[in-house]
Order: sequence, then C-alpha cells, then structure tokens
Amino acid sequence: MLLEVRNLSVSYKGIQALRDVSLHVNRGEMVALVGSNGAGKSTLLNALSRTVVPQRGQVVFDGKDLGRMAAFQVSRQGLLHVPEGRQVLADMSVWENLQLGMLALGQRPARYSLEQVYGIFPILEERADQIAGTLSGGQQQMLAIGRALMGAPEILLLDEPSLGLSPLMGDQVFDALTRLNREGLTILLVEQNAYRALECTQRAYVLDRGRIVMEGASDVLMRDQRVIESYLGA
Amino acid sequence: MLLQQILNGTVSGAIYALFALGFTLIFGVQKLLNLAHGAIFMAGAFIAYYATAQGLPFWFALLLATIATGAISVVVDFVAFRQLRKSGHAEFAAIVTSIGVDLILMNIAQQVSNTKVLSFPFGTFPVKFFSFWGMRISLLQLTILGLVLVLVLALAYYINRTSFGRQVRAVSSNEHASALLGISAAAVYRQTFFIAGALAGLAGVLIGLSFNSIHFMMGEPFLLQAFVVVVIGGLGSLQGAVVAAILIGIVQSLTIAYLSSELSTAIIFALLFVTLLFFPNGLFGRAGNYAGGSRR
Repeated sequence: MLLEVRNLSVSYKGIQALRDVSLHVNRGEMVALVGSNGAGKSTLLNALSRTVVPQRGQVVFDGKDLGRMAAFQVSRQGLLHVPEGRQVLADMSVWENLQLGMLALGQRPARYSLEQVYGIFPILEERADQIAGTLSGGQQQMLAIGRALMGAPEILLLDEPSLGLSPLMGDQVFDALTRLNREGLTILLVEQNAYRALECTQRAYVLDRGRIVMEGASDVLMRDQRVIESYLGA
Repeated sequence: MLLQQILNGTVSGAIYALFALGFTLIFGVQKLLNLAHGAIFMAGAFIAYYATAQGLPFWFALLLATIATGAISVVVDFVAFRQLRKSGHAEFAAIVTSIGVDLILMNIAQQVSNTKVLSFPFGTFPVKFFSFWGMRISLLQLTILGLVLVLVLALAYYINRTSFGRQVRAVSSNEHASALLGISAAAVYRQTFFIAGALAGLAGVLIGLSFNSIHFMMGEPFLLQAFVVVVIGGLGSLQGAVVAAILIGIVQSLTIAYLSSELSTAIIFALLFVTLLFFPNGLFGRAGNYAGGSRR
C-alpha cells in the first residue's frame, strides 16, 4: 500500500470539512475521488499534502507517517499535489516553472527528465521561454502536471485537472494522465465530472459532506443506481 | 561643477541603493516592512568602527560588518517576523515588532557609544583623488561605485539566473504553490534576510566612512529615504530601487549644491509625489503585483 489514510478529520474555520475519512491507494493504481461541490474533495487533497493541517487521523505514505511534516517536506517525499486552479508561477517562464519542479526531488533520483516531460507535453517545449501566466488554461494545466513530474512523484494528487478547459483540452489532459498511469505512475484524482473520472480510473471513493459514503471498482460504481442518480446526472 | 555634483550624487545614490535593495527584497518576498533595517545599517557602521578600533585592517572590518549584519538580520526575522507569518495577517503587527527591534538595536548602540558621534580614524581608507574632465573623484568614491556595481550585478544574477533566485521569486509570487513544489519558504526567508542585512550593513560602513560620522540614530533618515526609493522605484522592484536610489542621490546632491541643504528632504518627497502622479505604481512597478498582492 503506497498511501494509507486512517480516520482523517479536518475542520476549517469551525466547519467540519472531513469526518473520519479512511482510504488507501496501492502502487500503480489510478483512483478517483468523486462527489458534489463542497463534499470535501479538495480539503482531502490539501490535508494529504499538508497545506491544511488535519485535527485527527493518520496519513502513512510509503511507510512514513506524514504527521509532523510541513507541506514542502511532504512534497520532497514524492507526494506531489497539483492543486485546483493549477497555480503555475504566473510571472516566471515555462522553463523556470519546470526547473522549480525539480526541487521536490530533495535527495531522491529523478523519474522523468526534462526531455521526457517535453515528450509528454510537446507544447511546453514550444513555449519554454514564454511567461506561464500567458499560457491558455489547458497549457497551464499541462505545465502544472509537467512541473510535478519533474519532482519524481511516487503519487500524483490532481485536483480538477479539467476544470475550465475546453472539452478537447480536457480530453488531452486525461489522455496524458491515463498514459502516465499505464506506465506505472500512481494517481489520486479529484474530478467534478464523475463520468470522466470513473471512466479512466480503476477504483473510486465517493465523498459526501465530508464522509466516504461509497467505494469500489470504478466500473461497478458507474453502474450503481445511487451513483447514477446523484453524480452522473441520469 | 554640475557634472561634479551629478557624480557625487551618483556615488551617494549607489550607497542608498544597497540599503534600499535589501529593504525592497524583504518587502517583495514577504510583503512586510522591515523597519529594523535602519538599525541594521547602523549596526554595520558600528561593528566596522569597533573592529578597526581594535586594530583590525579595514577590509577585514568591512567583511566582518557585512557578515555580522547579515546574521543580525536573520535574527530579526526570527524574533520579529517568524511567529507573525504563521498568523497570515502580519502586516500591521510586523510594523510594531520591527520598530521594537529597531529601538532595541539603537538603544544598545547608544549605550555602547555613550551617545557620542564616532568616526573612523583619519587614513582608515587611503585619501587619494583622481582628476578627469575637470572633475575630481576620490579613491573611496571609485571603490564604492565599483563595489556597488559588482554587488548589484551579482544580486541580479542571483535572483534571475540561479535556482535560489527562482525559489525567492516563487515564494514571493505564491507561497502556497511553492510549498507544493518542495520549496521551504522559511529557508528562502532566512537567506533573503541575510542578503538584505548584509547589504544594509555594508551600506552603513560606506556611509560612515564617506560622511565620517557614525552614531546610533544614523539609520533612521536612511530608512525614511528607503521608503521613498522603494515607492518611486516600484514596490518590490529591484531594478526600480537602484534607479530611484541613484536618482535621489543626484537630486539631493544638486539641491544641496544649488539651493539649500535644508530643502533636500522636502524636494525628495515632492519628487515622490510627482512620480506617483505620472507612475502610480512607481517607475518599475506593476499594477497590483506587490502592493495589492495578498500573502497566501
């Protein structure tokens, strides 16, 4: 088991955003977290990357308890979070953003070279000298993912990678993620579009008002009546 | 005469630039005003003075003062800012804490110097003049210009071309995203405070030497002036700070030569308002980049 979360609870400004969440991700898996707006999906990813400090619970990653680590230390362990809204460094060049991604390596060896990242997202090589803030939303998403790859992720946490993208761009991003997973990258995906998320993942958790209410194989969940009614908009 | 004044102003401006660079660097990265910066500048002059008084060679005293003020600045960060950063809305509290540090350092200096004005003994730096095109420039002025030029270029290289500089810029534009990339904001803060303090301390030594006067309150007018430099140059802009500092040095020198020394402060602040009339974000500032940018 690469990532194990036990009884995680998070409160934000007096509101309990996560209650007793337990889940796990095995090495090489692609797992989806689905749920409606405000269900706590982003909070969960933030708690895993320690940008939000949980009140209770335990996160074990690659055999190490992340309990006392700061966000930057968690990143250096290889748990890399591509946050909602992409958060590229808008006034720096594409190349500089990618170089910064390598800081997450810490003492670990690289997993993807710059050439490989350019191979996955050729637009990044074309735009290497361009200021990241001037890229389109889809290109920024590719940069955010490429930047995380430069840091040799053991697991990649993705928050709404297709949000605000054209359907075509969204497809391109998902194709790339599916390919990366097939080549061995472990991915935990948060996605508003439940259909798309279930389609490309092996397992999924359904989050509702801060609790995990369902879990299972993605293809099974896709046919589940409750999931269809609540999340697939049938 | 005019060229001579411009030259003298450029030399003073170059020293102001060292002071203002550190101030604006900290502001750019942290969005906090470090009001202890003037005391750190003063500490540089004091350390160099007492080191030479102990018989150490001047170049060594200069180096010692630079490193020691860098270290003092890191301590200031630790004492006055570190805890506040955790609160997420430190802007006001940081003004109070850094004034506190400023007063403590000044108080110590006042005790140490018995409130006296100190000056480096004659001949600390060789007195030598060169003449060209009807102007005179001293060896000290020439050294200052050369030193500042090298330091400004080194800083520009550091910020724009090295991995550390990228980390500084990353933290200053988005601390949250930087943490996700594995960047330790605390380490970036420590290093920027060290650089800022070292530059201020060096400026203190150079001013103490040029004006032949070192006293416990010497930093305060420079702090006020650094505000003007930073606002004219554009908040958080390093090249803006250098240009504005030299501009102010020249204006000041011309005012003293042709009008009156009492007017120089008023004219510099008038220059500030005129600049803001035409460049609301300062000469090199970008709208909303730093001034309105939030700390995250």
